Amino acid sequence: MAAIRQGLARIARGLTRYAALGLLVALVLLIVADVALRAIIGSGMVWSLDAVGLLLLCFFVVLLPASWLDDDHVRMDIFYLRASRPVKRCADLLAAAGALVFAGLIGWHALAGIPYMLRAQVGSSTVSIPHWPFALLLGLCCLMLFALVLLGLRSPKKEP
Amino acid sequence: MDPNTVGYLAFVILIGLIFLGVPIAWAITLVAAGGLTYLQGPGQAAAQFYTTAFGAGTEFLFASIPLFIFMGQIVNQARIGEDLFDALHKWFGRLPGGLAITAVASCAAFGAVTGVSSAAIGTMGKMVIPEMKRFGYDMRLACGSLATAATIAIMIPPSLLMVLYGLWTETSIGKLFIGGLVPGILTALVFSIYIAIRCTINPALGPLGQRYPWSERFRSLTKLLPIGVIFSVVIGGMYSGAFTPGEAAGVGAGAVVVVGVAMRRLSWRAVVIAIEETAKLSVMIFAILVSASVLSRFLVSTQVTTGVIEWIAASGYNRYVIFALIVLLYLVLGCILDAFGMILLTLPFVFPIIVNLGFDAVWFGVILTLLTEIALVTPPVGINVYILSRIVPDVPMQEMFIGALPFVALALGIIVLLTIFPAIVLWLPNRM
Repeated sequence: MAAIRQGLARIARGLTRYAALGLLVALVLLIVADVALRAIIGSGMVWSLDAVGLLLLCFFVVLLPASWLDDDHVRMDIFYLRASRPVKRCADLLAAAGALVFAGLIGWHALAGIPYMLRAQVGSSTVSIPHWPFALLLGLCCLMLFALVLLGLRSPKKEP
Repeated sequence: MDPNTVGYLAFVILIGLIFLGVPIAWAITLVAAGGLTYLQGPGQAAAQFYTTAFGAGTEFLFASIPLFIFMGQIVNQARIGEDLFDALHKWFGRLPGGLAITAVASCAAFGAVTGVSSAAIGTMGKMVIPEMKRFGYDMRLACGSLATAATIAIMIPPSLLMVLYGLWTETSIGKLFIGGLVPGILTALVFSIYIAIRCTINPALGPLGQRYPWSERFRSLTKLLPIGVIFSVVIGGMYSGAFTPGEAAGVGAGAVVVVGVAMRRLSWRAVVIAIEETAKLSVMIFAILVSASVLSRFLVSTQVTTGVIEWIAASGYNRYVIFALIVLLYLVLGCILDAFGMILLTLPFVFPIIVNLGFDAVWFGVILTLLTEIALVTPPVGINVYILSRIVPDVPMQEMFIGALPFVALALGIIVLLTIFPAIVLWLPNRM
C-alpha cells in the first residue's frame, strides 16, 4: 500500500511540476499570439477560445492530486491549531471525506460519461476538439486524488 | 424534512465544519453534496459537481486567475519591487515619516502589476523594515503602516479578488478594475497624509530621511518604467477595449516575463518557483469555486436565499442599515477567515441581497475588496501581519496589530465616504 501511495505521490508531484509548467506557458503563448494576430492582421485564431478553455481545464485538473499531498487547501486554523489531537483527527477525517466526495463524484461522472461523449461526438463549439480525452484526464486525476486520500487515511496529515 | 429546513441545517453544519478546521473547499463539498444527495439523489449531485468543474475549468475568463497570479509571482521573482521602492524613496523619503510614506506609495504602485497583497508585503517588508530600524522608526507605526499598505495592492488593478468577484457575480471585471483605481489611490493618499501628520506632531515616530538632489530624483524615474509599461499594457488594453480581462492576464503575464528577461533578472529557476506558487494558489481557488458554485445551486433549490431576501424586504429596515450589518459581518468574518474563503463562501448569500437592495454590483465589488483589505490586518487571522512577523521576528505581533488599528479605522472611514459618494467608484467605470 505504501509503495502504491509513494508511486502515486511521485506522479502527482511530477504532474504539478512539469505538466502545469507546460500548460501555463502554452496558455500565455496562445493568448499572446491570438491578441497579436488580431492587432496585426485584424483577425485572431477562432479556435483559441476553445483551446485556452481546454488547456485551462487540464491545468486545474493536473494540480488536484498534489494539492492534497501538500495541504494547499485553505482552512480556518485558529481553533484547529489549538485543538486536542482527537479533535484535529476528526477535522482531518472530515476533510478527507470532503476530498473523497469531491474526487469521487466528479471522477465517477467524468468516466461514466465518456461512452456517451464518444457516441454523440461531444466537442467544443468553434472547432471540433473532442471533449472525451479531457473528461478522461479529469476522471483519472480525480481517481488519483481519491486513491491518495484513501491510502493516506491511516497517516496523520501534516499541520498547516 | 422540507427543502427550506435542509438549507438552514446545511448552513449550520457548514459553519460548524469550517470552525472545526476542515478546509473550506472540502467543508463546502460535504455540505453541498450531502444536501443535493438528500434532495435530488447522488446522480444529480455528481452531475452538478462534474458540470461545474468542467464548465468552470473551460471558461476562458477563468484563465485570468492563474495568469494574474503568475504575473504577480514573476514580478516578485524579478525584484521589480526593489526598483520601485528605490525610486519612490528618492521622492518621498525626506517627508516626515518618509520611509513609511514611501512604503505606502510603493505598495500601491506594486499593486499595479500584482493582484495579491502577500507579494507586496513579502517584497516590501524585507527592504523597508531594516531601513526603518536604521532611522529609528517607531516599530508599531512602521509595521502597522506596512502591513496595511500592502493591502492596497489588491485594490489597485489588476486585482485577483476582483477577478473572483467578477467571475462569481458575472460583473464586468474591466469595470471592477477601473472602479478600484480611484479608491485605491485615495486609500494610499489618506494613509500617507495620516503618517505625515502623526510624524509631524511627534517626529520621533518617523524621523526625516535623506534628501536627494533633483537630478537624482528625475534619474530614478527610469526605474518606474517597467511597471509603467506593464500597467499601461494591461489596464490600457482593457480600458480601450483592445482585449478582455482574460486576454489582459495572458498578455500581462507575457509582458512581465519579457520585461524580467530583458532586465536579466529572471532565471529558469525563478520561473519554475513562480509556476509552483501559481499552481498552489490556483488549485485552491479552483476547488473552492467549484464547491461554492454547487453550494449556491443547492441553496437556490432549498429557497433559503430567496427566503432571506424576502425576510429582509419585509423587515422594512433602511437599506443602509442592512448594508452596515453586512459590513459588520465581513469585519467579523475577516477576523477568522482567509480572503478567498470569505468572499466565495458569503457571495451566494450576500450578493443577491445587495442587488435586491438596489446597490450597484461594481460599487459593492470595490467595497468588498476594501473590507477584505481590512481582514488582512485584523487579529487573529491577519495574514499580512503573519507574513510580516516572519520578516521582523523581534517585533511582537500584538504590536503590529495595534499599529495597524488606526489604518483599519481610516479604511472604514473610506468605506463610509464611498457609501455616501458612490460616484468616487463609479465615475470612471461608467465612462467605459
